[in-house]
Amino acid sequence: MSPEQEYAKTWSDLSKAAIDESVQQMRRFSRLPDVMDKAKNVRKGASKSEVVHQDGRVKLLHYHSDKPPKYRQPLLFVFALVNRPYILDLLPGKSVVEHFVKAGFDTYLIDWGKPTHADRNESLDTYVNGYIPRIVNHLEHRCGVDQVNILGYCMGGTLSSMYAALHPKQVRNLILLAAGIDFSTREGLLNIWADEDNFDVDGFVDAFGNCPAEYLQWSFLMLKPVQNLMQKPISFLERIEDDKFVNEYLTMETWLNDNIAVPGEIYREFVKYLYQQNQLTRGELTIRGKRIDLKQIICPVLNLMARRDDLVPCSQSEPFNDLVGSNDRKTIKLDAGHIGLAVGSRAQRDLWPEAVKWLAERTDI
Amino acid sequence: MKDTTATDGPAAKLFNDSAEAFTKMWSDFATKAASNGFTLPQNQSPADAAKQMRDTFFAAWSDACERYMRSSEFQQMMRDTMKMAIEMRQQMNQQMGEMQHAMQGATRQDMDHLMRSVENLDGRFAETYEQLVDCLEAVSTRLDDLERHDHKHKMPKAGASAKQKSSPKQRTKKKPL
Repeated sequence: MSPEQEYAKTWSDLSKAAIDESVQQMRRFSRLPDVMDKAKNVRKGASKSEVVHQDGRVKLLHYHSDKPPKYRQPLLFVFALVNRPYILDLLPGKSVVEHFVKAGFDTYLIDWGKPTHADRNESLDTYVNGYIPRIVNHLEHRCGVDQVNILGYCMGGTLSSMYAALHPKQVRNLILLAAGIDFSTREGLLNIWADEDNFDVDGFVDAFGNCPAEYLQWSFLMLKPVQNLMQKPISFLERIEDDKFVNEYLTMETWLNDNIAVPGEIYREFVKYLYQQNQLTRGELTIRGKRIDLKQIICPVLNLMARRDDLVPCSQSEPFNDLVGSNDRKTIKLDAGHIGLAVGSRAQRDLWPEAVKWLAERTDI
Repeated sequence: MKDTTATDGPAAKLFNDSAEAFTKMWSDFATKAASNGFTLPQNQSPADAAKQMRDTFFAAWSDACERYMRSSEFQQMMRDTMKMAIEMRQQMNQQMGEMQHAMQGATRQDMDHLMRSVENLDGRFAETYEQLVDCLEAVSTRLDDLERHDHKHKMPKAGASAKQKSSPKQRTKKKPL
């Protein structure tokens, strides 16, 4: 082929590709009204559940199962105070809850509700010595047991570890999922931004009351601005004709944008005592005069973390197993992100069946 | 790269530093994107090649952003923005409070004060309650000791009837939280 012919062929290929892409793009844009309609009707939570206990705005959900529970000790999910807990039960086939319910665990989840300005004084004490113990007591009476299994996700994992250290006899097994424990790491941007020199948390909480949901959302978005604000919308547009993908995307986006404020006092304590002073790892954190000593945790511990977690890097979760007093400790690292650890397909295929097996081996039948 | 026409005040210095860091981020990004991604592979369709270029472009941009957000200039900018936001919010709270008080209404600060009082009261109740529980546990332990002591010194016949009574474990209630 002569250079002129080659040039003409390349030019014609490029023109054809440009026309094809334009047509495809128009077809994709024509789907947008449909997608907008679907976005309005996204279902929150996949499995059937009912509220079995209520403590102010805090609700305890019980997940239904077709068969009676196989295991004696119930499993309690403790979610973070940021965002809503239905990420743990996002869609059929992408639900952490579903794995445990199907395996025969009597499964419960704490829904912290939406705090208002009246809740701004809720502190670590309110949760670790208030809501969580009251819910555990309720579960013990309801199920006729004296211990429960706890699975804490992210900030909920940190709270669960504090609870387990203060009330070790109540916890049968403890599973932590991307939980921040050692905040001395400088791997994550959040750790740098929350430094004492950079962030006047006292001034912030005194002025704003609760930590606003929008502030948290922007902080999380800015951890990966190019991926979150550019790549994600573009890849969504490219796959807009794939109904399964659109459904999953919309469900995930609904959850990501379903932000709630964090009660001011606990936000202050979390940033000041954990992010800035790392008191939990150093054994200096006290709640209502009682020191939190992680060595008091003697139950079996399963520590799950994600290698690509930009919110809670592995270096923040990993030291937990060396700080507890338990002899039965296990760590599983998955090649996923913070959310992928719960809902990602690799987590669904490899991580959760293994976690279910681990818990089943350590729970009475 | 520094702006020699700017004044030497702290605000101008901050502006210069931030601008310099931001410019560096863009130049790093452009260099990386140009050196890595903009070569068209032979056996790829134009659409695939464009996608590959785009991915390289975004990866380079993302790296540059990450470095910029870790820089001291960005952190200084963040500190200043936060300080300004807190001051604005405090001013707004104060003005709204004055307005509410002028209209004889309760302000957010009044509500906070009330909530703190209720919480102090709640804390005091909880402390007293815990002390009571501790006392009861001490009494219960002493009763158990007495019962055991009594049990040792009684005749086997009487011991059998004592067995029918509630065991110490059954009587000791779980410590409320």
